[in-house]
Amino acid sequence: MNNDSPEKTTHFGYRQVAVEEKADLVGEVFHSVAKKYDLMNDVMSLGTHRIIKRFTVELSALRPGMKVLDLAGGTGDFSLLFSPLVGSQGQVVLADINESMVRVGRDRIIDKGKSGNISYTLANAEQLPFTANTFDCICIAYGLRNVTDKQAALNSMFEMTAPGGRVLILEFSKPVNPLLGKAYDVYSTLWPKAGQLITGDGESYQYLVESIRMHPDQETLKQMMQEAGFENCEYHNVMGGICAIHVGHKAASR
Amino acid sequence: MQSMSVTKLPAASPRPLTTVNSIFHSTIYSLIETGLNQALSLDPGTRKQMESLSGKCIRIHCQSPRLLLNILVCEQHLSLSANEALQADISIKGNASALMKLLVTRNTANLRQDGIVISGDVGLLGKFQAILQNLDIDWEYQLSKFIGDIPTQFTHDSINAAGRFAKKTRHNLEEDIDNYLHDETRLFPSEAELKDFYKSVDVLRLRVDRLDSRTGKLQSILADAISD
Repeated sequence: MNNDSPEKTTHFGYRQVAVEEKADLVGEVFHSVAKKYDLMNDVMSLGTHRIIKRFTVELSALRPGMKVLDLAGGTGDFSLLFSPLVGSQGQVVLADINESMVRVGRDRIIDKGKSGNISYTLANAEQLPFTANTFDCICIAYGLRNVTDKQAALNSMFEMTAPGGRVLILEFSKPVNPLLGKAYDVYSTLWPKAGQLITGDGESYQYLVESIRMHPDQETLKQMMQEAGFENCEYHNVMGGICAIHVGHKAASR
Repeated sequence: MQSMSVTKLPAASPRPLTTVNSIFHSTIYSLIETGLNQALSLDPGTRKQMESLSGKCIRIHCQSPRLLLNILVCEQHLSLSANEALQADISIKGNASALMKLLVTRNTANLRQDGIVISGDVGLLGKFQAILQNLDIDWEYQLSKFIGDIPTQFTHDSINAAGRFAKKTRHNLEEDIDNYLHDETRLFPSEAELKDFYKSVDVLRLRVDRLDSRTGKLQSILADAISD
Protein backbone atom coordinates (compact mmCIF):
# COMPACT_ATOMS: atom_id res chain seq x y z
CA MET A 1 0.00 0.00 0.00
CA ASN A 2 1.39 3.32 -1.00
CA ASN A 3 -1.33 5.56 0.30
CA ASP A 4 1.20 8.22 1.21
CA SER A 5 2.08 8.94 -2.44
CA PRO A 6 0.42 12.10 -3.81
CA GLU A 7 -1.38 10.35 -6.76
CA LYS A 8 -2.97 7.77 -4.42
CA THR A 9 -1.73 4.70 -6.17
CA THR A 10 -1.49 1.16 -5.00
CA HIS A 11 0.27 -1.93 -6.25
CA PHE A 12 -1.32 -4.37 -8.64
CA GLY A 13 1.34 -7.04 -8.69
CA TYR A 14 4.49 -5.08 -9.54
CA ARG A 15 2.58 -2.32 -11.32
CA GLN A 16 1.41 0.88 -9.66
CA VAL A 17 -2.22 1.64 -10.43
CA ALA A 18 -4.75 4.19 -9.18
CA VAL A 19 -6.46 3.07 -5.98
CA GLU A 20 -9.92 3.03 -7.63
CA GLU A 21 -8.69 0.79 -10.41
CA LYS A 22 -7.29 -2.06 -8.34
CA ALA A 23 -10.62 -3.68 -7.41
CA ASP A 24 -11.65 -3.84 -11.08
CA LEU A 25 -8.31 -5.23 -12.17
CA VAL A 26 -8.39 -7.92 -9.47
CA GLY A 27 -12.00 -8.58 -10.47
CA GLU A 28 -10.92 -9.27 -14.05
CA VAL A 29 -8.28 -11.72 -12.83
CA PHE A 30 -10.80 -13.74 -10.86
CA HIS A 31 -13.52 -13.58 -13.52
CA SER A 32 -10.97 -15.13 -15.80
CA VAL A 33 -9.74 -17.90 -13.49
CA ALA A 34 -12.92 -18.73 -11.52
CA LYS A 35 -13.86 -21.91 -13.38
CA LYS A 36 -10.45 -23.56 -13.18
CA TYR A 37 -9.53 -22.02 -9.83
CA ASP A 38 -9.53 -25.27 -7.83
CA LEU A 39 -7.55 -27.17 -10.44
CA MET A 40 -4.95 -24.41 -10.53
CA ASN A 41 -4.73 -24.47 -6.71
CA ASP A 42 -3.89 -28.16 -6.90
CA VAL A 43 -1.20 -27.48 -9.50
CA MET A 44 0.35 -24.53 -7.66
CA SER A 45 0.36 -26.08 -4.19
CA LEU A 46 1.03 -29.67 -5.32
CA GLY A 47 -2.19 -30.68 -3.56
CA THR A 48 -1.09 -29.45 -0.14
CA HIS A 49 -3.74 -26.72 0.00
CA ARG A 50 -6.30 -29.29 1.22
CA ILE A 51 -4.26 -30.11 4.34
CA ILE A 52 -3.57 -26.43 4.97
CA LYS A 53 -7.28 -25.65 4.68
CA ARG A 54 -8.19 -28.46 7.05
CA PHE A 55 -5.62 -27.18 9.55
CA THR A 56 -7.02 -23.65 9.26
CA VAL A 57 -10.52 -24.95 9.94
CA GLU A 58 -9.20 -26.71 13.06
CA LEU A 59 -7.91 -23.36 14.30
CA SER A 60 -11.38 -21.86 13.94
CA ALA A 61 -12.49 -23.69 17.14
CA LEU A 62 -16.06 -23.63 15.82
CA ARG A 63 -18.88 -25.62 17.36
CA PRO A 64 -22.52 -26.23 16.53
CA GLY A 65 -24.69 -23.13 16.54
CA MET A 66 -21.94 -20.63 15.76
CA LYS A 67 -21.86 -18.09 12.94
CA VAL A 68 -18.92 -17.95 10.58
CA LEU A 69 -18.05 -15.63 7.72
CA ASP A 70 -16.09 -17.19 4.87
CA LEU A 71 -14.71 -13.97 3.46
CA ALA A 72 -13.29 -14.04 -0.06
CA GLY A 73 -14.82 -17.51 0.11
CA GLY A 74 -14.59 -17.95 -3.65
CA THR A 75 -15.25 -21.48 -4.72
CA GLY A 76 -16.62 -22.49 -1.34
CA ASP A 77 -13.93 -24.87 -0.06
CA PHE A 78 -14.03 -23.37 3.41
CA SER A 79 -17.79 -23.02 3.55
CA LEU A 80 -18.08 -26.73 2.83
CA LEU A 81 -15.74 -27.51 5.72
CA PHE A 82 -17.42 -25.04 8.11
CA SER A 83 -20.97 -26.16 7.32
CA PRO A 84 -21.00 -29.51 9.20
CA LEU A 85 -19.14 -27.93 12.14
CA VAL A 86 -21.74 -25.27 12.88
CA GLY A 87 -24.64 -27.60 12.10
CA SER A 88 -28.23 -26.73 11.29
CA GLN A 89 -28.45 -24.18 14.13
CA GLY A 90 -25.36 -22.34 12.94
CA GLN A 91 -24.74 -20.25 9.87
CA VAL A 92 -22.04 -19.97 7.25
CA VAL A 93 -21.94 -16.86 5.08
CA LEU A 94 -19.88 -17.12 1.93
CA ALA A 95 -18.89 -13.62 0.89
CA ASP A 96 -16.77 -12.60 -2.07
CA ILE A 97 -16.37 -9.38 -3.98
CA ASN A 98 -16.29 -11.26 -7.26
CA GLU A 99 -19.55 -12.42 -8.81
CA SER A 100 -17.99 -15.18 -10.92
CA MET A 101 -16.31 -16.71 -7.90
CA VAL A 102 -19.54 -16.64 -5.85
CA ARG A 103 -21.42 -18.25 -8.74
CA VAL A 104 -18.88 -21.07 -9.02
CA GLY A 105 -18.88 -21.54 -5.24
CA ARG A 106 -22.65 -21.49 -4.95
CA ASP A 107 -23.12 -23.98 -7.80
CA ARG A 108 -20.54 -26.26 -6.31
CA ILE A 109 -22.12 -26.20 -2.84
CA ILE A 110 -25.61 -26.76 -4.23
CA ASP A 111 -24.33 -29.64 -6.40
CA LYS A 112 -22.92 -31.28 -3.30
CA GLY A 113 -26.30 -30.90 -1.58
CA LYS A 114 -24.78 -29.00 1.34
CA SER A 115 -26.68 -25.74 1.03
CA GLY A 116 -28.73 -26.00 4.27
CA ASN A 117 -26.88 -23.53 6.47
CA ILE A 118 -24.83 -21.64 3.87
CA SER A 119 -25.85 -18.28 2.45
CA TYR A 120 -24.08 -16.21 -0.19
CA THR A 121 -23.36 -12.56 -0.59
CA LEU A 122 -21.35 -10.21 -2.75
CA ALA A 123 -19.38 -8.07 -0.34
CA ASN A 124 -16.39 -5.80 -0.25
CA ALA A 125 -14.07 -6.81 2.59
CA GLU A 126 -13.26 -3.16 3.28
CA GLN A 127 -16.89 -2.34 4.09
CA LEU A 128 -18.61 -5.48 5.25
CA PRO A 129 -22.41 -5.19 5.00
CA PHE A 130 -23.29 -6.95 8.26
CA THR A 131 -24.37 -5.98 11.76
CA ALA A 132 -21.42 -5.35 14.06
CA ASN A 133 -20.40 -8.13 16.50
CA THR A 134 -22.10 -10.85 14.45
CA PHE A 135 -19.61 -13.59 13.64
CA ASP A 136 -17.93 -16.02 16.03
CA CYS A 137 -15.28 -16.53 13.41
CA ILE A 138 -14.23 -14.71 10.26
CA CYS A 139 -11.94 -16.55 7.90
CA ILE A 140 -10.25 -14.98 4.91
CA ALA A 141 -8.12 -17.39 2.92
CA TYR A 142 -5.92 -16.27 0.05
CA GLY A 143 -8.04 -13.15 -0.18
CA LEU A 144 -6.48 -10.35 1.86
CA ARG A 145 -3.64 -10.07 -0.66
CA ASN A 146 -6.09 -8.85 -3.30
CA VAL A 147 -7.82 -6.25 -1.15
CA THR A 148 -6.88 -2.66 -2.01
CA ASP A 149 -6.85 -1.28 1.53
CA LYS A 150 -5.88 -4.17 3.78
CA GLN A 151 -6.03 -2.16 7.00
CA ALA A 152 -9.60 -1.06 6.21
CA ALA A 153 -10.51 -4.71 5.62
CA LEU A 154 -8.98 -5.75 8.96
CA ASN A 155 -10.82 -2.91 10.73
CA SER A 156 -14.09 -3.96 9.15
CA MET A 157 -13.48 -7.60 10.06
CA PHE A 158 -12.77 -6.58 13.65
CA GLU A 159 -16.06 -4.71 13.80
CA MET A 160 -18.06 -7.72 12.52
CA THR A 161 -16.37 -10.22 14.87
CA ALA A 162 -18.45 -11.06 17.93
CA PRO A 163 -16.79 -10.42 21.30
CA GLY A 164 -14.83 -13.56 22.17
CA GLY A 165 -14.66 -14.45 18.48
CA ARG A 166 -11.62 -14.84 16.28
CA VAL A 167 -10.33 -14.06 12.85
CA LEU A 168 -8.25 -16.41 10.72
CA ILE A 169 -6.13 -15.14 7.87
CA LEU A 170 -4.58 -17.72 5.58
CA GLU A 171 -2.28 -16.11 3.06
CA PHE A 172 0.92 -16.61 1.17
CA SER A 173 3.81 -15.22 3.16
CA LYS A 174 7.58 -15.02 3.33
CA PRO A 175 9.55 -18.28 3.53
CA VAL A 176 11.70 -18.38 6.67
CA ASN A 177 14.60 -20.23 5.08
CA PRO A 178 16.26 -18.20 2.26
CA LEU A 179 17.11 -21.39 0.36
CA LEU A 180 13.48 -22.49 0.42
CA GLY A 181 12.58 -18.95 -0.62
CA LYS A 182 14.77 -19.23 -3.73
CA ALA A 183 13.38 -22.66 -4.65
CA TYR A 184 9.85 -21.35 -4.19
CA ASP A 185 10.59 -18.29 -6.33
CA VAL A 186 11.79 -20.53 -9.14
CA TYR A 187 8.78 -22.80 -8.78
CA SER A 188 6.33 -19.91 -8.81
CA THR A 189 7.74 -18.60 -12.09
CA LEU A 190 6.18 -21.73 -13.62
CA TRP A 191 2.66 -20.78 -12.53
CA PRO A 192 1.94 -18.29 -15.32
CA LYS A 193 2.96 -20.98 -17.81
CA ALA A 194 0.77 -23.58 -16.08
CA GLY A 195 -2.02 -20.99 -15.96
CA GLN A 196 -1.66 -20.39 -19.70
CA LEU A 197 -1.94 -24.12 -20.35
CA ILE A 198 -4.88 -24.83 -18.02
CA THR A 199 -6.99 -21.66 -18.08
CA GLY A 200 -5.59 -20.03 -21.20
CA ASP A 201 -4.78 -16.96 -19.14
CA GLY A 202 -1.14 -16.67 -18.11
CA GLU A 203 -1.39 -12.98 -17.23
CA SER A 204 -3.74 -13.52 -14.31
CA TYR A 205 -1.27 -15.95 -12.78
CA GLN A 206 1.55 -13.53 -13.37
CA TYR A 207 -0.47 -11.15 -11.21
CA LEU A 208 -0.92 -13.83 -8.52
CA VAL A 209 2.84 -14.46 -8.36
CA GLU A 210 3.59 -10.75 -8.14
CA SER A 211 0.87 -10.06 -5.59
CA ILE A 212 2.26 -12.82 -3.33
CA ARG A 213 5.65 -11.11 -3.31
CA MET A 214 4.11 -7.71 -2.55
CA HIS A 215 2.07 -9.05 0.39
CA PRO A 216 3.20 -7.97 3.88
CA ASP A 217 5.29 -10.54 5.75
CA GLN A 218 4.22 -12.40 8.90
CA GLU A 219 5.24 -9.77 11.47
CA THR A 220 3.88 -6.83 9.47
CA LEU A 221 0.49 -8.49 9.08
CA LYS A 222 0.46 -9.34 12.77
CA GLN A 223 1.05 -5.67 13.60
CA MET A 224 -1.72 -4.63 11.23
CA MET A 225 -4.09 -7.02 13.01
CA GLN A 226 -3.12 -5.55 16.37
CA GLU A 227 -3.72 -2.09 14.97
CA ALA A 228 -7.23 -3.15 13.96
CA GLY A 229 -7.88 -4.14 17.59
CA PHE A 230 -7.29 -7.88 17.60
CA GLU A 231 -5.63 -9.35 20.66
CA ASN A 232 -3.47 -12.41 21.31
CA CYS A 233 -2.42 -12.33 17.66
CA GLU A 234 -0.24 -15.22 16.61
CA TYR A 235 0.74 -16.90 13.39
CA HIS A 236 1.54 -20.41 12.21
CA ASN A 237 4.08 -20.73 9.43
CA VAL A 238 3.03 -23.46 7.04
CA MET A 239 5.56 -25.14 4.75
CA GLY A 240 8.40 -23.05 6.08
CA GLY A 241 6.53 -19.78 5.73
CA ILE A 242 5.33 -20.14 2.13
CA CYS A 243 1.93 -19.73 3.72
CA ALA A 244 1.05 -18.36 7.12
CA ILE A 245 -2.12 -18.60 9.17
CA HIS A 246 -2.67 -15.58 11.41
CA VAL A 247 -5.11 -15.88 14.28
CA GLY A 248 -6.45 -12.87 16.18
CA HIS A 249 -9.02 -12.64 18.95
CA LYS A 250 -11.56 -10.01 19.90
CA ALA A 251 -11.77 -9.56 23.65
CA ALA A 252 -14.91 -11.03 25.21
CA SER A 253 -15.56 -8.01 27.42
CA ARG A 254 -15.98 -5.45 24.66
CA MET B 1 -16.62 -42.88 39.41
CA GLN B 2 -17.34 -41.35 42.82
CA SER B 3 -13.66 -40.81 43.50
CA MET B 4 -13.24 -38.37 40.63
CA SER B 5 -13.49 -34.67 41.13
CA VAL B 6 -15.67 -32.57 38.87
CA THR B 7 -13.85 -29.35 38.20
CA LYS B 8 -14.55 -26.48 35.89
CA LEU B 9 -12.13 -26.49 32.99
CA PRO B 10 -9.83 -23.47 32.80
CA ALA B 11 -10.27 -21.10 29.89
CA ALA B 12 -8.16 -21.93 26.88
CA SER B 13 -4.95 -19.99 26.51
CA PRO B 14 -2.88 -19.41 23.37
CA ARG B 15 -0.30 -22.14 23.11
CA PRO B 16 3.21 -22.14 21.76
CA LEU B 17 2.99 -23.01 18.10
CA THR B 18 4.41 -26.24 16.75
CA THR B 19 2.97 -26.06 13.29
CA VAL B 20 4.74 -28.96 11.59
CA ASN B 21 3.46 -31.25 14.31
CA SER B 22 -0.01 -29.80 14.13
CA ILE B 23 -0.24 -30.21 10.37
CA PHE B 24 0.85 -33.82 10.73
CA HIS B 25 -1.81 -34.44 13.38
CA SER B 26 -4.35 -32.59 11.33
CA THR B 27 -3.72 -34.92 8.38
CA ILE B 28 -3.97 -38.07 10.49
CA TYR B 29 -7.08 -36.81 12.27
CA SER B 30 -8.68 -35.95 8.98
CA LEU B 31 -8.24 -39.56 7.82
CA ILE B 32 -9.57 -41.00 11.09
CA GLU B 33 -12.47 -38.54 11.05
CA THR B 34 -13.46 -39.61 7.54
CA GLY B 35 -13.36 -43.28 8.58
CA LEU B 36 -15.37 -42.67 11.75
CA ASN B 37 -18.03 -40.64 9.99
CA GLN B 38 -18.27 -43.22 7.25
CA ALA B 39 -18.80 -45.92 9.89
CA LEU B 40 -21.42 -43.72 11.57
CA SER B 41 -23.20 -43.14 8.28
CA LEU B 42 -23.79 -46.92 8.14
CA ASP B 43 -25.59 -46.91 11.49
CA PRO B 44 -28.47 -44.43 11.47
CA GLY B 45 -29.59 -45.47 14.98
CA THR B 46 -26.31 -44.46 16.59
CA ARG B 47 -26.19 -41.28 14.55
CA LYS B 48 -29.59 -40.30 15.86
CA GLN B 49 -28.49 -41.03 19.44
CA MET B 50 -25.40 -38.92 18.95
CA GLU B 51 -27.49 -35.87 18.20
CA SER B 52 -28.31 -35.62 21.91
CA LEU B 53 -24.62 -34.86 22.54
CA SER B 54 -24.35 -32.25 19.77
CA GLY B 55 -22.02 -29.41 20.69
CA LYS B 56 -20.20 -31.43 23.35
CA CYS B 57 -16.45 -31.69 23.13
CA ILE B 58 -14.33 -34.45 24.66
CA ARG B 59 -10.61 -33.78 24.98
CA ILE B 60 -8.20 -36.69 25.16
CA HIS B 61 -4.79 -35.77 26.43
CA CYS B 62 -2.40 -38.64 25.88
CA GLN B 63 0.80 -38.16 27.88
CA SER B 64 2.95 -40.88 26.33
CA PRO B 65 3.16 -40.42 23.42
CA ARG B 66 2.18 -36.75 23.75
CA LEU B 67 -0.99 -36.22 21.80
CA LEU B 68 -4.02 -33.99 22.01
CA LEU B 69 -7.32 -34.99 20.48
CA ASN B 70 -10.61 -33.11 20.63
CA ILE B 71 -13.70 -35.04 19.64
CA LEU B 72 -16.48 -32.58 18.91
CA VAL B 73 -19.98 -33.88 18.27
CA CYS B 74 -21.61 -31.83 15.53
CA GLU B 75 -25.16 -33.14 15.29
CA GLN B 76 -24.79 -36.48 13.48
CA HIS B 77 -21.15 -36.18 12.70
CA LEU B 78 -17.85 -36.18 14.60
CA SER B 79 -15.07 -33.66 14.16
CA LEU B 80 -11.53 -34.36 15.37
CA SER B 81 -8.97 -31.66 16.01
CA ALA B 82 -5.84 -30.87 17.98
CA ASN B 83 -6.68 -27.26 18.80
CA GLU B 84 -6.26 -26.41 22.46
CA ALA B 85 -8.32 -23.27 22.04
CA LEU B 86 -11.46 -25.33 21.62
CA GLN B 87 -13.20 -25.39 25.01
CA ALA B 88 -13.76 -28.98 26.14
CA ASP B 89 -16.65 -30.23 28.29
CA ILE B 90 -14.60 -33.12 29.61
CA SER B 91 -10.88 -33.73 29.58
CA ILE B 92 -9.32 -37.17 29.96
CA LYS B 93 -5.62 -37.44 30.70
CA GLY B 94 -3.57 -40.62 30.74
CA ASN B 95 -1.11 -42.75 28.83
CA ALA B 96 -1.94 -44.54 25.60
CA SER B 97 -2.57 -48.03 27.00
CA ALA B 98 -4.87 -46.81 29.78
CA LEU B 99 -6.81 -44.65 27.32
CA MET B 100 -7.22 -47.56 24.91
CA LYS B 101 -8.51 -49.67 27.79
CA LEU B 102 -11.01 -46.96 28.60
CA LEU B 103 -12.15 -46.89 25.00
CA VAL B 104 -12.78 -50.61 24.64
CA THR B 105 -14.19 -51.50 28.06
CA ARG B 106 -17.10 -50.00 29.91
CA ASN B 107 -15.44 -50.64 33.22
CA THR B 108 -14.59 -47.30 34.76
CA ALA B 109 -13.90 -48.63 38.27
CA ASN B 110 -10.11 -48.77 37.94
CA LEU B 111 -9.56 -45.39 36.32
CA ARG B 112 -7.45 -44.02 39.15
CA GLN B 113 -5.34 -47.17 39.31
CA ASP B 114 -4.64 -46.83 35.58
CA GLY B 115 -3.44 -43.27 36.11
CA ILE B 116 -6.32 -41.63 34.28
CA VAL B 117 -7.37 -38.17 35.40
CA ILE B 118 -10.76 -36.88 34.36
CA SER B 119 -12.01 -33.35 34.76
CA GLY B 120 -15.23 -31.74 33.62
CA ASP B 121 -18.58 -33.36 32.95
CA VAL B 122 -17.88 -37.00 33.89
CA GLY B 123 -21.36 -38.21 32.94
CA LEU B 124 -20.62 -37.28 29.35
CA LEU B 125 -17.94 -39.97 29.17
CA GLY B 126 -20.39 -42.74 30.01
CA LYS B 127 -22.90 -41.50 27.44
CA PHE B 128 -20.26 -41.25 24.76
CA GLN B 129 -18.84 -44.71 25.54
CA ALA B 130 -22.31 -46.23 25.43
CA ILE B 131 -22.96 -44.75 22.01
CA LEU B 132 -19.62 -45.85 20.57
CA GLN B 133 -19.91 -49.36 21.95
CA ASN B 134 -23.42 -49.79 20.60
CA LEU B 135 -22.18 -48.95 17.14
CA ASP B 136 -23.84 -51.74 15.21
CA ILE B 137 -23.01 -51.59 11.56
CA ASP B 138 -25.08 -53.81 9.33
CA TRP B 139 -22.21 -54.76 7.03
CA GLU B 140 -24.29 -57.32 5.18
CA TYR B 141 -26.93 -54.79 4.19
CA GLN B 142 -24.27 -52.27 3.11
CA LEU B 143 -22.39 -54.89 1.12
CA SER B 144 -25.56 -56.15 -0.54
CA LYS B 145 -26.22 -52.65 -1.86
CA PHE B 146 -23.00 -52.89 -3.87
CA ILE B 147 -22.69 -56.55 -4.82
CA GLY B 148 -26.24 -57.93 -4.52
CA ASP B 149 -27.92 -60.38 -2.13
CA ILE B 150 -26.53 -63.73 -3.30
CA PRO B 151 -22.84 -62.72 -3.39
CA THR B 152 -23.34 -61.09 0.04
CA GLN B 153 -24.79 -64.35 1.43
CA PHE B 154 -21.87 -66.24 -0.11
CA THR B 155 -19.35 -63.79 1.40
CA HIS B 156 -21.10 -64.01 4.77
CA ASP B 157 -21.01 -67.86 4.69
CA SER B 158 -17.35 -67.87 3.63
CA ILE B 159 -16.38 -65.51 6.43
CA ASN B 160 -18.30 -67.62 8.97
CA ALA B 161 -16.72 -70.84 7.67
CA ALA B 162 -13.28 -69.24 7.86
CA GLY B 163 -14.06 -68.13 11.42
CA ARG B 164 -15.14 -71.64 12.44
CA PHE B 165 -12.04 -73.16 10.83
CA ALA B 166 -9.77 -70.68 12.65
CA LYS B 167 -11.45 -71.45 15.98
CA LYS B 168 -11.17 -75.23 15.49
CA THR B 169 -7.53 -75.01 14.38
CA ARG B 170 -6.66 -72.93 17.43
CA HIS B 171 -8.34 -75.40 19.75
CA ASN B 172 -6.52 -78.35 18.14
CA LEU B 173 -3.21 -76.58 18.31
CA GLU B 174 -3.66 -75.76 21.99
CA GLU B 175 -4.49 -79.41 22.72
CA ASP B 176 -1.47 -80.69 20.75
CA ILE B 177 0.94 -78.36 22.53
CA ASP B 178 -0.54 -79.37 25.86
CA ASN B 179 -0.11 -83.11 25.09
CA TYR B 180 3.40 -82.62 23.81
CA LEU B 181 4.62 -80.75 26.91
CA HIS B 182 2.96 -83.08 29.40
CA ASP B 183 3.18 -86.52 27.84
CA GLU B 184 5.96 -86.51 25.26
CA THR B 185 8.66 -84.34 26.79
CA ARG B 186 7.36 -84.67 30.38
CA LEU B 187 8.50 -81.08 31.02
CA PHE B 188 5.39 -80.49 33.12
CA PRO B 189 3.60 -82.92 35.46
CA SER B 190 0.15 -84.16 34.50
CA GLU B 191 -2.97 -82.97 36.31
CA ALA B 192 -3.36 -86.24 38.24
CA GLU B 193 0.26 -86.11 39.45
CA LEU B 194 -0.20 -82.54 40.54
CA LYS B 195 -3.37 -83.41 42.48
CA ASP B 196 -1.53 -86.27 44.27
CA PHE B 197 1.32 -83.94 45.13
CA TYR B 198 -0.98 -81.25 46.51
CA LYS B 199 -2.85 -83.90 48.54
CA SER B 200 0.34 -85.17 50.15
CA VAL B 201 1.38 -81.61 50.93
CA ASP B 202 -1.97 -81.12 52.70
CA VAL B 203 -1.54 -84.35 54.70
CA LEU B 204 1.98 -83.33 55.67
CA ARG B 205 0.77 -79.90 56.80
CA LEU B 206 -1.92 -81.45 58.99
CA ARG B 207 0.59 -83.83 60.58
CA VAL B 208 3.06 -81.02 61.25
CA ASP B 209 0.26 -79.01 62.87
CA ARG B 210 -0.66 -81.95 65.09
CA LEU B 211 2.97 -82.49 66.07
CA ASP B 212 3.31 -78.79 66.86
CA SER B 213 0.32 -78.79 69.21
CA ARG B 214 1.51 -82.02 70.86
CA THR B 215 4.99 -80.55 71.59
CA GLY B 216 3.29 -77.43 72.94
CA LYS B 217 1.18 -79.55 75.29
CA LEU B 218 4.24 -81.57 76.48
CA GLN B 219 6.20 -78.36 77.08
CA SER B 220 3.45 -76.94 79.28
CA ILE B 221 3.25 -80.24 81.30
CA LEU B 222 7.05 -80.16 81.74
CA ALA B 223 6.96 -76.52 82.84
CA ASP B 224 4.25 -77.30 85.43
CA ALA B 225 6.29 -80.28 86.77
CA ILE B 226 9.43 -78.06 87.17
CA SER B 227 7.53 -75.34 88.99
CA ASP B 228 6.01 -77.89 91.43
